[in-house]
Amino acid sequence: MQCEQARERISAYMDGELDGPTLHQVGDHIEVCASCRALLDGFRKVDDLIRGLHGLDVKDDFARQVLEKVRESDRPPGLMCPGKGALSRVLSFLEPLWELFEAKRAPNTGILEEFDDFPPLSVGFIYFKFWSQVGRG
Amino acid sequence: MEGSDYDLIKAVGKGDEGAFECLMRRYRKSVLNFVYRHIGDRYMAEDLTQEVFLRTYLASARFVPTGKVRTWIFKIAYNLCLNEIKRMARLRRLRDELDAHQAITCESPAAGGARSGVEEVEAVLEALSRLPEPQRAALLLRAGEGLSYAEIGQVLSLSVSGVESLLFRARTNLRQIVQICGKG
Repeated sequence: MQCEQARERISAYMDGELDGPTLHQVGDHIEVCASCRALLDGFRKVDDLIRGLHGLDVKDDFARQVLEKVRESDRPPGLMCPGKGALSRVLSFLEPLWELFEAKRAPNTGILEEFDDFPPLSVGFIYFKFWSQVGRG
Repeated sequence: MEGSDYDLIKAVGKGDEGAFECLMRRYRKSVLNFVYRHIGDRYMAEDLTQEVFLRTYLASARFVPTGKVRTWIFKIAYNLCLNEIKRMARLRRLRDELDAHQAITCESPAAGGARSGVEEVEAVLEALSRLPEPQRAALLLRAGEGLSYAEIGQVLSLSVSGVESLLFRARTNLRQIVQICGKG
């Protein structure tokens, strides 16, 4: 394995993420290449620096604070939208407006029975009413 | 309540607070330390960690088991860190301009001499902050939390080879930054 190829895989070699044959090839190269050994050593020191960072301790009341926020959000799990209370208020407001614009069905006009239940002023109703009148002459 | 992560998240999705507390106990420290090392501010890290778990709870019913619960939680944490970093970007650029000269000439009190434990931590966090964002995240997830390349790929939305390349560059860059300041 060429040095340049090995260098590119040293990170994965260190992390144990190489497949068997590639692992052996990189390992064999590192044994004979001082430069790649130095790079591997440098990467290990970098990781040691990260692992050497002191960890923060979680405060005792962490869970309580999160649960308080969960309850304050007034949302059940999976519902990333305004709470049920707000939604129902919006729908209640819209309902009378919907009834205002919804027209009542026209009486039977003698059109083909299977299309008799078109709501009035719908495209289907107008279309078949027109043609039924055309058909009558 | 104990059980697999998937059992817990299913229970959380049904509003089980006991399962949620168990899930928090498992991951709160890892998430807190990932966020802290990522953004470098302890108090903001604590706030963001709470936000991570709040969002975990709210999205739990929609969790799809195509990946691990752990990587899903870290993905939420990573996205929140990105948002915070963008918010702080302007201040960070100003600080980096002031500190760039200091890093190159190594006039900081820590260079060339013995550092206290706190100074050493600060130096490493400072060096980490100089890494481009995805490199920093990949390095913290691998070296700090021990995630596999596949898991890191799920968090960062990268392929395994993409993660490998990212980690190589992250380690190379951090090594150079640290060497400039006399630690490597």
